[in-house]
Formats: sequence, C-alpha cells, structure tokens
Amino acid sequence: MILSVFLMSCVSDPDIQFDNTARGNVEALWRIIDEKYCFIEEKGIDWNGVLPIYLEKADSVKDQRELFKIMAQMLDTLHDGHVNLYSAFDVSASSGWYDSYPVNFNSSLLPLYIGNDYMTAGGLTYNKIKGHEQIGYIRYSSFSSSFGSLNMYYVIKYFEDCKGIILDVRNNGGGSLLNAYKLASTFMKNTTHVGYWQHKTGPEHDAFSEFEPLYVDSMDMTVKWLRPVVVLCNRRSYSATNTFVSCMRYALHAVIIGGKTGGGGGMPLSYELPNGWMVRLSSVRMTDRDYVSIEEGVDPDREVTLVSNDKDDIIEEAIQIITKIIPQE
Amino acid sequence: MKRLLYILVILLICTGMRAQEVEKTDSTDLLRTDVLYLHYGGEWLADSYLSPLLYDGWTIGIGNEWWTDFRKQTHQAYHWRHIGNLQGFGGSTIQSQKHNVIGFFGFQGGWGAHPVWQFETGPSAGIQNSSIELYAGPYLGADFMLKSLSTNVNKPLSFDLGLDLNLMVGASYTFRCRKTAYRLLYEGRINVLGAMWLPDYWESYYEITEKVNLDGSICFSHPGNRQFLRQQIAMDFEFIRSTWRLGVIHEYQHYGDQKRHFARQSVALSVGCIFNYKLTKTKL
Repeated sequence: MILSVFLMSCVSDPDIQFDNTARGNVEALWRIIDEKYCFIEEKGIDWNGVLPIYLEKADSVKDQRELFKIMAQMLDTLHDGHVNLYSAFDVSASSGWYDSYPVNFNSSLLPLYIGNDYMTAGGLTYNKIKGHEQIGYIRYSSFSSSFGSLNMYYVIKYFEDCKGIILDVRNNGGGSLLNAYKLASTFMKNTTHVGYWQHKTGPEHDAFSEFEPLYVDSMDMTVKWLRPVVVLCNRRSYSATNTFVSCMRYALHAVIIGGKTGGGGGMPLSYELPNGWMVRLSSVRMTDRDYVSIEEGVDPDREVTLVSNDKDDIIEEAIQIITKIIPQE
Repeated sequence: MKRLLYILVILLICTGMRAQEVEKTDSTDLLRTDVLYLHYGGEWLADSYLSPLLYDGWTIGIGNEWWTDFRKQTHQAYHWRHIGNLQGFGGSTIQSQKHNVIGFFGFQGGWGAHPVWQFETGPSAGIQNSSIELYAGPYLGADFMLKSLSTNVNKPLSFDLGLDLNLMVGASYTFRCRKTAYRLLYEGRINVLGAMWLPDYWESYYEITEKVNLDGSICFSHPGNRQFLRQQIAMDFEFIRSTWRLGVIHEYQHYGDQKRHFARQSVALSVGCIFNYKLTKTKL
C-alpha cells in the first residue's frame, strides 16, 4: 500500500502539459495541430511561423470570447472546413474553401423539375423529372441522414422505366462515410477499389501509415442501378460528399457534372484543450486510386455553371446527357 | 448517496445468511471459499487518445473471488491452492474544468495457482489459534475497459485490453479473539509478460472497427511498456451470523510509449460476504 501512494503521482497529464491560461491554451492548440493535423506539409503551411503571432495576441486577451476569436483565427489559417473549435458558447468554422467559387445551386428551382409531389425515402428525396418522365431525380442533401436497402429498393423500383437518374448532391456538406459508401455501392456491380487512406503514426509532419486501400463493397447495397447516372456537385459538396463523388468516378455509367467539390478529404477527429474546449481536425487523409489527394476537391467530368434564374442549367445539362443514346444493362 | 444505500441494502440481505468459518476447521473435506464483494472508490484516468488531460471521478463494481485447495487438507504446512476472480466495474470521471466526462465500464478476470506455506503461531494475550499463511505463484489475468468521452463531437471510443501473466504474492494472519475468528490478509500481483491492445498513434476507431485494420495494434507486453499492479488489504470477520470482508483494493495500470499514454488508478473500499462450500464427489 506504500507503493500505491508513490504511484498516485504517476497518473499525470499524459500528453500536452500546458497551463489553463490564455497563452497555455493557444500553445496547446498549436501543438495539437502541429502533431496531429495531417495536411500541414500537403498545404505548405508555415505552422511554426503562426505560433509567435498568436501567442502575442493571447497576452492581451481580456475574456473567453476574445480568446476564442484569436484561436479561431489561428485555425482559419489552415483553410479547412474540417477544423473547428468548440466551446460552450460558439463553434468556429472556416469558409475560405468555398467563398470564391460559384454557388451553382438554387433550391427554389427544384419544384420546376420535381414538382411538389416528390417522395421521401430515408434521406432520399425523389421523383421523375416533369416533362421528362424517363429520367429520375434523387436529391440527397446530407449524408448524416441515413437510408436502408428497402428505401433504395422502392426508389429504384419507382424508376424502373427510366433511362437514367440524376443524383443531386450539391450543397451536401457531408456526414457519415458509411452512407457515402453505401450510396456509391448502389451504382457498382462489383466491389470496386476507389482509393487509399493514411492515418498519422507520430507527431512529425510526415509520419503516416502505409497507404491502406479503400473499397466500395458491392454488398453494402444489394439493390443496384446499373443504367446511366449523372451526379451533380458543387463547391459545397464537402467531406463525405467529396468522398462519394470521388468514388463515383469509378462507377461504370456515372458522369459527374457541375463544379469542383469542396474537398475535406481528411477524416476529422477531436481533441481537448486545457480549458475544456474541443478542437476538431483532419487526421486521416484520403486519396483516389492514383494516390492523388482529394483534400482540395474533385473535378467534375464536365464543368457546368448555374447562371440562369428561371432554370437550373446543371439539371438541364444532366437531362441532355441522359436523353442521348447510352448502352443500358 | 444512492450508491451507498444500495450497498447497505445488499449487506442487510446478506445478514440473513449463516456464518461461514474464517479459520480452518478440523474437517478434511475439500473446501471452496467464495467472496462476493462490492467496491466503491475513486478513479484517476489518463488516455492520450481521448484527451491530453487528466480525469478523475468514481468507480463502482461487483466481483467474486474464490479459492480452493487442490487436495483435501490434513493440516499440512505446505499445499497447493488455486484462486480465481471475476469482476465487473464502471464509473465516471470528469476533467478539472468540469466540461467533459469520460464514462467507462469493464471486466477483469483471472485464474492462478500457487503453493501455500502455513505456520501455526503460539497464543498470545487475548489471541488464540493463530496461524500465518504465505503464498506466491503465477496468475493469468485478463482486463478490459471501454471508455467514451461524452462531449466529443466525433464520439470516439477508447479501450484497454490486456492479457497478462502476473506474479501474485500474499500473506494472511488468522486468529481468534474473544471467541470470534478474524483473518487479516494482504495480496498483490504485478504483471510479468503478456499481450495488450495498443492502437496506432492517431488511428481512428472507425478504421479499426469498420475497416478492421489491426496492423500493429496487438503488442507483446512486459514491465517496460506496461505496468500493472493490484493490491488488496482486507479483514475477514464473523458478524451477525455471517462472515464478512472489509478491505481496500488499489489498482494501477500504465501502458504506452512516447507517443501514446494510457494510465488509470483506483482506490476503492471493498465490502464482501464470504461463503464456504464443501466439495464432495458424488457417485452416479
């Protein structure tokens, strides 16, 4: 029992030993990013140069909100939508990754194409295109909303007379990777190799595991659509949506149109600061089959911009693609 | 307060049971002794995968410890005994800023065998029929604990999983005072070698569970990379027609390397009820 008294002191702060002061929290945040963020080298960020700037700002902080603002500004230098600072009173977010890109989506135009009698199955909103009843339309607005095989069965059955489907994932900010792979599986006959991923294996900027292959398992979704599918995406197609679009490049009859996706190819994990705030950061990086990182986004097969106010130019282009003669299975 | 109330209720129920002998009787039957116990105490936890901060809180658990000799005793000074333990526990810890909570639950179990040396000691003032037992031997133990940081936006889990060959040592002093039998005991065990779960530096549990990527996550363990210590000091005594154990259990565990750090320590008050069973062969 004497040994136990000695050992009491051995369960100590395991990792980052910083004071719970403004300076201590800024330094802890900097170090968490330095050791665990996976894109410092890839993005060419001078992270060492960032610390003295924000330590100086931390010395003049008056309250918690001011400290939050400074730390959020520090994180914004990463230009990563997966990097957020969470406190009890606010959540920081970076918008730089989509600000300078065309919006390419106007939800008020959708009733022109699917009317108001559209249906919903799980997270999928669907109907046939008005005036083009041989073309189906599915809107999936968030990968956080799940769907099952039965949902997809009824959607596909409803479209059984259609020549092709438009799958709209514009402005889909992401969500569950499981749903992304499940949706991609609908359009793949066989298990398909779609890319690689790596996690960090140490605090060094270049300490990564071997590339682990990523597959879309054809058995994730037993209901299949093997006719033409046109995927619509834009800059706000982020995170799991970005991954989904990257996977769809390897689907046999898929065409991707719209704008470059927002990226977010790093899977985020969270960590804690001395004051209890949480920081979310990208820590697992993903690539396509050619080892090209998808962090900065995926280019569409055909770039189309929404310029009209009375029609959705991107949906119109998708309709044109499907109405051309394409071999069907 | 509620937890203490539940423990008291269980203790009151146990008072209806017949007292079991603390000291050895003249019987040469093979005896098995079980100690059913509850423990409640403090927990300190550090898990570098979940958080860089130290968490502390409480733990509660229930367990059963048993032992039996390999052969019927004839008051030999030296004999072999095997011992086992199975317990479940859970609890909650909070970090110093009171923002976030790590909840946990787990199981421990094991079995060991050891030689026992017994010495009769002479009577002294107020003390009769006293004896000392010393034992030491191997103990194979398994430990599992699942942890979750409740407010983490990605809700990661972390778990400890270890299988260790331990060295167990113990000593007990049994005596009778004013017609009541008592046993004072100390038992401790430390790990010698084994295997443990040690996920890669920043490998997500999504990758481990969904993609089933276990490369390098199961490691050989030794005192250099894993330290496990469990100690118990207790008093067994007869009271209100039953035999009780009142003790303190201390447990410490630390494993990892320069990049990863996992540690936990608990000190808990243990209250148990002791049962003796005669093991006899039945002719079919």
